[in-house]
Amino acid sequence: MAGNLGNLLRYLSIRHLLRHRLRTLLGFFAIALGVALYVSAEVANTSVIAALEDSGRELSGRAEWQVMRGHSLGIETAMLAKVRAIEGAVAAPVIQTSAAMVAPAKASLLLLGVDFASDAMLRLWRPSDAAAAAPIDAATVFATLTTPNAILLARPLAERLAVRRGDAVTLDTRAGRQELVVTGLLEPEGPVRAVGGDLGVIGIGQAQRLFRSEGIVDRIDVAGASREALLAACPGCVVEPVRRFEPLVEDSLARLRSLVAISLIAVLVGIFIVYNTVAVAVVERFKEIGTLRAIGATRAEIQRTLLVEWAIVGAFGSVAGVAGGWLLAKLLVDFTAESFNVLAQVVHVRAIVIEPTTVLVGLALGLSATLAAAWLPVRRALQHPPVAILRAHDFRRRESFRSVFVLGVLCLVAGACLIWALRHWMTAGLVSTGLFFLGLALALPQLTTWIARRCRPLLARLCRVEGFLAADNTAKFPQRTALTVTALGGALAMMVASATFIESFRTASMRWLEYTLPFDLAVSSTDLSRAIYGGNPFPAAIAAEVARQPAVADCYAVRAGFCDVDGRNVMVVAVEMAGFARAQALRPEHASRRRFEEKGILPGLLAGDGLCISDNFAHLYGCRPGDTVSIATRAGPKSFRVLATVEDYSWPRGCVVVDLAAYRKLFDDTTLSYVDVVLRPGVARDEARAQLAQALGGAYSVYVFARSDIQQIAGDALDRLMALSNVQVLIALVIGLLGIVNTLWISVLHRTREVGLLRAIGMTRAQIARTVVLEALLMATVGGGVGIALGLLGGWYPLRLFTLQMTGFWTPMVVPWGYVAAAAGLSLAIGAAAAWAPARSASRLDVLDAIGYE
Amino acid sequence: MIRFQDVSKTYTQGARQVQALSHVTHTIERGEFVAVMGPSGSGKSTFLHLAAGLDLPTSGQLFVDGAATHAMSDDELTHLRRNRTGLVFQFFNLVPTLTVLENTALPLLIAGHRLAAVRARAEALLERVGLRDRLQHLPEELSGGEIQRVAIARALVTDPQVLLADEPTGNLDSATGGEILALLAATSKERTVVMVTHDAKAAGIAERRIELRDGRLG
Repeated sequence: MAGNLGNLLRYLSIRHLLRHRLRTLLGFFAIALGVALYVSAEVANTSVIAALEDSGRELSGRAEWQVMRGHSLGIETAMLAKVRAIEGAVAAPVIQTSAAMVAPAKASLLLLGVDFASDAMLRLWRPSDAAAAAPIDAATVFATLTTPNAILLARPLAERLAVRRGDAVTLDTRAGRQELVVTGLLEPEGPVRAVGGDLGVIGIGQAQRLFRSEGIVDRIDVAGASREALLAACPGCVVEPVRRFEPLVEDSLARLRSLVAISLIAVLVGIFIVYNTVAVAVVERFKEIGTLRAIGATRAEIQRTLLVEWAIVGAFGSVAGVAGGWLLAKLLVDFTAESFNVLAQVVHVRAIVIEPTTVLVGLALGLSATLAAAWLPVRRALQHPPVAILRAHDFRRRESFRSVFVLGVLCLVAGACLIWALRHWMTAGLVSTGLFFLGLALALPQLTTWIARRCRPLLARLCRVEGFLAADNTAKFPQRTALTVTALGGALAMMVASATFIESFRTASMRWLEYTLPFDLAVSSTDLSRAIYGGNPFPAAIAAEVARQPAVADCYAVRAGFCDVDGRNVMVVAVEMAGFARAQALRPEHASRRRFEEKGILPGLLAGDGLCISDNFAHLYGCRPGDTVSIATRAGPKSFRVLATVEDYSWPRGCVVVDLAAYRKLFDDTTLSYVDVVLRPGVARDEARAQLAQALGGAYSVYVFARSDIQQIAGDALDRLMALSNVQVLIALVIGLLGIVNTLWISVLHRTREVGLLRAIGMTRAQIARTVVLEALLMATVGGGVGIALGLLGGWYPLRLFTLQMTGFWTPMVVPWGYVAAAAGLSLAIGAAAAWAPARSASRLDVLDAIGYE
Repeated sequence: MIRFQDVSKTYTQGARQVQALSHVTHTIERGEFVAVMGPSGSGKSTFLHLAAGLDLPTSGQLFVDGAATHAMSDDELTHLRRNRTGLVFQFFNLVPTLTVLENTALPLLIAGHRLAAVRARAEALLERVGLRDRLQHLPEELSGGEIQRVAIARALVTDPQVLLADEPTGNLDSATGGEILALLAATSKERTVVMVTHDAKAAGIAERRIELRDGRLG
């Protein structure tokens, strides 16, 4: 058996693949691109996760647990003694925050406040002694932190900023701008390696003064004690493993994981191309297959040979796909890290990590996709007796697609029904998408025949003989045409669906920003263009400073952070409600969208025992007005009555809105994130912006944003998300293009004798070329129509439902007309581009050779 | 050698049933050279295809060398074709990507033999059909007559007991056709040859003729 398989492969398969290089390459690229997309998405995932885990590991050192009152609540330093009383426990207090450096250069760094004596037992610190006369030990360097306003910097950061020992740096803190003196440098080892070495260290006492409150730290890191012992020693505290991801990070990781799902759709598109290619190759070799069967090759031998032949193409394609995926991952990782860091600077990816399992899965995916695509056409070809195969032209005409059409419709219906399961089973989305693709591929051959017949009179009227020949040719091999249309349509559907979803979200959130928030300018403690969340707040005194400015008619303060509500970490937005109500009153044009003006809500908020929840919070957690929720505080849980739901797109896991006074009482935190400003009538916005920046910029780092700036920043973040999926869509479109080229080329080959006859009886070369181009445009038009329709359907319900399940956001659908037009234009452009070479080839056929072709 | 026992064959063409052969009973003895004649649509090719095991009868019994082919599985028929019969088609049916030598050796390659091991046999046959100097040429570089000679060489490479030829000169000019017929006649001394033809002159080289008309033996 091995002998004849080897012979058949060597003398038939390999030669056929080499002889028909273009077709072989089309199948190869289809698989390679699909696998590359999958591998790149997986590698981007694992690289970012690895960077986050590395960062967490380096920061945590030997520590196993972190003890705190709750997320964002910190813990009293007095609890340290109780933890250290546990036998064998090593405990160190930590304050960890992102800090913005203002001078000598603008930079962001991770700042740790530590007590060196205890911290050195958990983490490795190595001072830089490059410029010292003798080796310096860490204790000596850390001892410098007892001097007021001392800071240690990571050596790479210092070198980048051209800062040396003894130089001063200025940081933004809760107490305003603070000048600190660099008393030592640290080598990039241990925690200093985290976040790419952008790290500074100050003493714990100084950290409390500048970034927290007296007597409070963010957490106590512990090693050498069990969780049970810690819970017993610290009742009412939360004890968690040190490497838990923050909610910001979890949210961004979820988006990254969605790329893997999109990439699997691209693999599906690749499968269709390979199926098409193999089906055409088998049909072209009918006579050869018939001959082999006639002279003694069994069905099994031929099937094995053809499957191994395509397995070889699939294997090479998969290997190329893995390599290409690794290269593409670098781009995706850069993109992803940038989008992560826009939310809050948390990740620095040092290396592209490709797991062996990713390689194996990528290879298996490509190979199995190729075999799955090749199996059916090969099997169908071999079902018939040799004499029937030898009469291949009769064999083709007997194919009917009506029963397959019914099966296709059933798959589409099943896919649509499965969307309802999205409410309970997230993977249903992917399965449903697969069913849609399959249903389309099965239904389209018959649909293509109907469409081509319907279009024939119109094309005949518009384009005469070229038109109806194009329609006839499209209908002649409906299965081949259908698969091409499915591949192109699938790629366009991905593009339109993503655009529909993002544009719907963008419109809703921009409208919310425009009409619901009554400010003209927002004075922020954070440069929102660099990091939307995170960053440090500024002191409460800034609100009074803002109110004193002549351009300001009114203002209100806002504090945004995170807290645990009923055990779930959500965003808390604390608004100075009285000021907010006044600002709303100054906006009569937005009267219909005023928040908190329904009876009982504002008084309830001001009383401090009620809160509002965002719509997505209500959906995610099944919470309604009238319910009671519990917010974790250092003093224990506090109950609040839910007064109302409000439209709010601040956070995908939901947010609660409280009055600022209530927040301060809950968390003993007087700092602010924003001061929102309503300008006096007639004051120019830019003039006011400059005035505020000048008045406040001495003591604080402030960033003044117009509402339109914030909309722009939010829009940019959405665009980055769109860009990620656009890369994948682009590759899927390339696969679709390859599919049309493949189909047209085979169509030209099959019609060589027909083309010769047409030329012989008077059709010009240009007319022949036009026929091919029209055929391509007809395919592309059907593909474009299918893609746009499916994309709008996908964006209308399943994607929104998926988003609702993940984030609780349900936005009214907005048709992205720009993208729809782009999809239509793109499909025609792809059709025209794909037709160029086959049309040229067809028009250049020699008449006599073509007539004699067999 | 080849015995048809009340064999009928019906095809479906679109909506209608076509009776290609109707209750044919006939025996071709070992070593005979038989020409099967008849007008277009008379069932000649169907007769040959059944004898070759390329197709199965709708009813009746068919025996090749005592083996009941009507009851064989597809694999058994395939092995019969591989080992005991040689086929020559009207439209040559060479594999376009293989050289003359490889096309000739193809049945043996299918059986698992290495080309080096069967090269001598293939070359000898090609010498016999006058193509010794065309071993490395592809079919597209050959004339119609040369292609058919390669096909005959291929059909003989397994030394079959039966050679079946379907209109072997149908696509050739008269001179070339004559050469092919001479080759077939030469091989008939060693084996049974059944040749389908509508050409009376071609049928003249056979020892015996049978006539088919509307699927029945005349």
